[in-house]
Amino acid sequence: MEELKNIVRSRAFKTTLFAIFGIIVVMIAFQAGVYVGTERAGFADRIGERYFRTLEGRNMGVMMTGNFDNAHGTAGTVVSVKLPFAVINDRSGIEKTVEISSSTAIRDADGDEAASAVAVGDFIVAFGSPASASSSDAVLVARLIRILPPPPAN
Amino acid sequence: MNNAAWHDIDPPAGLKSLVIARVDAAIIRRNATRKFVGIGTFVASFAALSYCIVILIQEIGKSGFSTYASLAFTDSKLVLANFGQFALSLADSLPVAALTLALAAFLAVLAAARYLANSKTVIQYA
Repeated sequence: MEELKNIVRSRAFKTTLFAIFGIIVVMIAFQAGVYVGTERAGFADRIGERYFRTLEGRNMGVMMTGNFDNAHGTAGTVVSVKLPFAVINDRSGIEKTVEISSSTAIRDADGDEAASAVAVGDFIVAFGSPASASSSDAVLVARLIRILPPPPAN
Repeated sequence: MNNAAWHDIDPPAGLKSLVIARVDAAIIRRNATRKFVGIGTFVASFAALSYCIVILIQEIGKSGFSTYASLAFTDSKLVLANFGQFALSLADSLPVAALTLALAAFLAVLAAARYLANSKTVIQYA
């Protein structure tokens, strides 16, 4: 008990407390940045939609939610494959298009595979970068696609 | 009254022990309050920490963060070669709010433990 008290009273323990507090402050700042960025993106989208509605006389038809999904990765089930694109039903319920380029590495339990190894029904996890801003499609250009066993049902 | 008269006045008998007893009682009361607040805070923050950890595990599973993070172990060379995009995919999926709450609860537990450890139970006189 006395040893525990000495540990809790030590300088190292106090330093740990301050370090955790610092991490919390950084994470709050990060979350605040994400919130502000989301608000600005949503507002920019609403401006664009109003501009479109004014010129075209109808809504763009794009539903803007407040929750932006992961733009640099996806994990989910393949629902459609039409090379070089595959459509993934992400865990968040959104369907994302993944581009399999010449620099995309595709791997499963047996090692490296070709693009044709990606099939409908496979559970994959991929990360990469969004297609360039000049592209009109919201496509994730994958750097790595790993084919995994399907996760257990919750 | 002149200064010499002040030196002739003796304090009432038992005043010293009365004052010391009052000081002791105040110290004991303060320590008891400190212990009560410390133990209450510790228990409450520990309960909050347990709840936050459960929520955090659920959020990590829902966001897919653990799935992305597992790539660092299975495909470490490719992850290192494309570290920027991998880091962004992790940052995008990190459940920041749940993690912040869990860290805050953990900090409260540690701070309450330190507060309790620093509370004195023995009355010490110089």
